[in-house]
Amino acid sequence: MELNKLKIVLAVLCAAITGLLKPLIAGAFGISPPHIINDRLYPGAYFEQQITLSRPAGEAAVNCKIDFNLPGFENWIEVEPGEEFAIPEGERIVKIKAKVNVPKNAAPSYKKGNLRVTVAPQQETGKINIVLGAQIDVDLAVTNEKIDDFAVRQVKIPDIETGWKIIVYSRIENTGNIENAPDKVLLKVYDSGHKNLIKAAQTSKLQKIKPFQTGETLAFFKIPLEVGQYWGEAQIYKGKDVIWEEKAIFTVRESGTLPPQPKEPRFVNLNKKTVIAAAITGILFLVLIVYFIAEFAKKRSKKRRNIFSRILRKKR
Amino acid sequence: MRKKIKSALQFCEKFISGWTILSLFFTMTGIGIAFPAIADDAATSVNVDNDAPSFSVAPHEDPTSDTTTPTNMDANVTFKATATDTNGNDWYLAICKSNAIATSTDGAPTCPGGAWGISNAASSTAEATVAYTITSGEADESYAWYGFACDKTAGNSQCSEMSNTGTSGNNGSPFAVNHRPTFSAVSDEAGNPGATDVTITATTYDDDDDDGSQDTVSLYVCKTAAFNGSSCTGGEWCHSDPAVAPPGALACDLTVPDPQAHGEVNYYPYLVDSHSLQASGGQHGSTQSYTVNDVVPTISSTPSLNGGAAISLSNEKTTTDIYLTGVVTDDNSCQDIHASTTADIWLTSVGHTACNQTGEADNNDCYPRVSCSYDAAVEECTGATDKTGGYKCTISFQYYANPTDANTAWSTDSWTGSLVPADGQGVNEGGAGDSATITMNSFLALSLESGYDAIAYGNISAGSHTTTLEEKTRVEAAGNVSLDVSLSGTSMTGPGADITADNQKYAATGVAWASGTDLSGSPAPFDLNTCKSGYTGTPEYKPVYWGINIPAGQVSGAYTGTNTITAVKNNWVNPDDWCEVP
Repeated sequence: MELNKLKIVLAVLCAAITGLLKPLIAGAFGISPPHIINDRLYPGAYFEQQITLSRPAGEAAVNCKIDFNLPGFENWIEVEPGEEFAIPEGERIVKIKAKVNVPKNAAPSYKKGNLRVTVAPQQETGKINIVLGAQIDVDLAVTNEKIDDFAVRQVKIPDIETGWKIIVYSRIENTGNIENAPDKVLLKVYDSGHKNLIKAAQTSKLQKIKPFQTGETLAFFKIPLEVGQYWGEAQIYKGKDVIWEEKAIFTVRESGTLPPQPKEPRFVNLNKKTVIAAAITGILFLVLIVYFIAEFAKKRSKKRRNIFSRILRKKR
Repeated sequence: MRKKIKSALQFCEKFISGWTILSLFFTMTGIGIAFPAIADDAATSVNVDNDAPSFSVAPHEDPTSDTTTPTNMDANVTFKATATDTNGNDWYLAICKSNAIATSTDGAPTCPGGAWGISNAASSTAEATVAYTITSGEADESYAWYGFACDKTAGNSQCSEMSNTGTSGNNGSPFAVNHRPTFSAVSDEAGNPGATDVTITATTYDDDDDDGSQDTVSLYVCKTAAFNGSSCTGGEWCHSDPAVAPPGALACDLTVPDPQAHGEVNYYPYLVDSHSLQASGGQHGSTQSYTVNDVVPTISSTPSLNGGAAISLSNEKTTTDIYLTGVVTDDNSCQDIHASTTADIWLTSVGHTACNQTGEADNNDCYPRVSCSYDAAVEECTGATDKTGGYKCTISFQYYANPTDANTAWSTDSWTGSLVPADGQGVNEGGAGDSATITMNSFLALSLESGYDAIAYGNISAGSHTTTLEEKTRVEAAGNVSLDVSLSGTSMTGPGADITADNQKYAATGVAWASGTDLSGSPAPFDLNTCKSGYTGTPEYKPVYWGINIPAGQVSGAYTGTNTITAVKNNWVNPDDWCEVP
C-alpha cells in the first residue's frame, strides 16, 4: 500500500516535471549569404555559391534539411553535402555548396525560387517543438549575351631566389560568363630605394579563369637580379586600361632558401594560321587512311572472287 | 875630346857598380872585409803624407729628395757615396749642414756647423751610407747639405774637398722636405637611409708648394679605423678629390645604407697629401659618427581585407573575427616597425576621415584603430637588413555590421580597410595603405528571445480554443538584416487523433481567436518586418502570438508537434524599411 502511494507520488511528480519542460529547440540559426544570384548565366554554364550555415556554440546535434522550391528549374541546382545531413553536437559552422548547372538548351529567361534550410533537434521532447530555418532566395537569369568581365581581388609579388623568374600573382574573380584573364601584366623593377629603374617588362601569357570562379593567374618575368631587396610595380590591364596597380617590395634570396617555385605553364599560340595548318594536316591524314582502307578492301575482294571462280571451274 | 870624357865616365860607372856589388856581397854575407870606402852610409827617411780620401762616387741622395719626390716628415733622407783612400785607411761619409768639416784622430769627423749625419767607418773603395730622419724641426721645404769623405787614421786625418752636387739629376743638395697636412676639424650631416648626399667636411691646412706647385690633400672617410695611406682597408664611406688646402675644407658625400637603423653610425676620417703623407693628430683617424634619421614606415603592397573575398558573418548576436593583412616597410629595417601599427575599417560611404579615431567607432559601419600584430606568415622580418614585416589585424565585426550586397540599404556601398603603420615615432597616417573594397554579405539569422522560445498551450479542454492569441515567441534579428518569417507546422500527435496544424493560429498582436491566421503544413510568409539590429544595444525582435483549438471529442492526453519558423530576408526597397539610422 505504502509502495503504491509512493508510485503515485512519483508519477505525478514526473508528469509535473514533464509539463514544465521546455520543448527542445535550436537557440539560433543563420546563413550567409542568403541568396544564389546570377544574372549572367550562359546556356550550359556552371557556377557554385558557397553558403555558410551557423549556430551558437555548444548546441545539441541537429538534422539539417533543405527543401527546394524551384518552379520550372528543379534540376538546375544541387547542394553539397546533400539535401539532408546531420550537424553533430557542438559543431557551429557548416559550409554548403550550391551547384548550378544550366542546361545547354536553356532559353534566355528569369528563374526565381528558394531553398529552405531547417535544423531540427534530433531528440524531440516536450509539447511543441520549434524548428528554426532560413530561406535562400534564388534569382537567376539566362542570357545568350557573352559577357567579358572580371575583377582583380589581390596582387602579390613574392620573394624569389637568384636565377628564378619574378612572378606576379593576380587573384582574379571572373564575373563574366566566358573564360577570362587580364590582357597584359606590366612589371617595373626598381632598386630598394625605389629611385632607379632597373628593368621593365610585360607579358600577355596569362592563364584564363573559368566563368564565375576565382583563381590565380601567374605572370612570369625573366629579369636577372642579385641578392637584395627591390621594389616592383605591377600594372594589370583590361584591354588598354590599367585596372590595378601594385607597388611592393620583394626580396631576392640565396639559392636553396625558399620552397620550389611554381612552373611556368606553356602556352600554345593558337593563331589562325596554326589552326588552319593543323586542320589541313588532319584532313589529309584522314583521307590517306580512308584510301588505304579502301585499297585493302579491294584487294581482299579480288582474292575472294578468284577463289570462288576456281571452285566453280573445278565443279564444271 | 868628347869621346875621351865619355869613355872615362863609362869606366867610373863600371868601377862604382862593381864596388857596390862587392860591398853588398860582403855586407850580406858578413864577411868582414874592409873594403876601402868608395861611398859612405847615408841615413834615408821619408814622411809619407796622409792623403785625404777622394770620392769615386760623389755623395748623393738615394732615393732622390727633390721637389717632385720630397722626403716626408718622419721618413729618412739617405746619403750614399764611395771613396778611395790612397793610404788604405777607412773613411767616413760626413753630411754636414754647412761647408765645414773637422777631423778627429782615429775617429769620426765632426761638422762644426751641425751634421745631418756621419756614417760608420767604411773601407777604402767601399760605399758608405748615412740617413737622417726628417722631424718637425725641419719647417722649411728644402735644406742644403755638404758632403765630405774623411779618413780614419791615428795621424793627421784628412777630409776630402766638399762635394754636394750629387751624381745625376736632382740627387744633390738640397734635399726636399714634405710636411704633414693639418686636420683641425671635421663635421657631418644627418641623413635618411639611402640618402646619397650626406656630406663629411674636414678642415685642413697644407702650404707646401713644392717650388710653385701647391700640394693637394684628399679626405678619406673609412668605415673602420684602418687606412693604409691610399685606401680604407676595412671599407670606405667616401673620399674627396685631391684639392689645394692652404687652408681649406675638403668634403665628400657618403651614401647611407638602405635599410639602416636610426641612430649614430661611426666613421673614421683620414687626410693624406699628394706625396702620400698622412696628417697626424687632430681629427685624423678619430672616431666620429653621423646620424641616421628615424624615418616613418609605409605600406608595401595593397593590404588585403578578408583575402579579397566577400565577408560572411557567422556568429548570431555576437562578433565574427575577420582579418586585414598587409606588409609594412621601414627604411630603418623591419625591426623598427612598432606594435602600435593599427587598422581602420569602414563603410565606404562613411569615409576614412570619419573613421580614424577611437571615438568614431560605430559597429554598424566603422571600426577604427583596430590593433595589429606582427605576423611572419604574412611576411617574415628576417633582421636588420630586411625592410618589410607582415601585420595582421583582427576586426571583430558585430553581427549587425551593415551588409552591402543586393537588396540592402547599403548595396551601393562596400567595405574597405586601411593599414596604418607605426614605429617609435608614432603612427604614420600619411603612410597608410588602403585595401581593395569588398562586399559584406547579408547575414540572415534569427533567434528566439529567452522566455519567449516555446509554444506551450497548457491544459485545454476538448471542444475549446484559445480566446485571445498569446505572445509565445519573440523572433530576434540575430544577423545584419531585417527579418520576415515563414511559418509552418506539423500535426500534433498523441493518444487520440492527430490535431492538424490548421488548429493553430498566429498573429502579430494579441488578437481574438477568429482574427488569427491558420497555421499550414506548408511554409507561409508572415511579414514581421523585424528591424535590423544595431541601433539600440539589444537585438531587435518582433513577437508572434499563438493560439490552438482542440476539436470536440479529442482524447485527453499529451500531444506533441513541430512548428517551423523560417527566417526570410526582408528585402530593403525604401529608406527606413529596416528602421536603419540614416
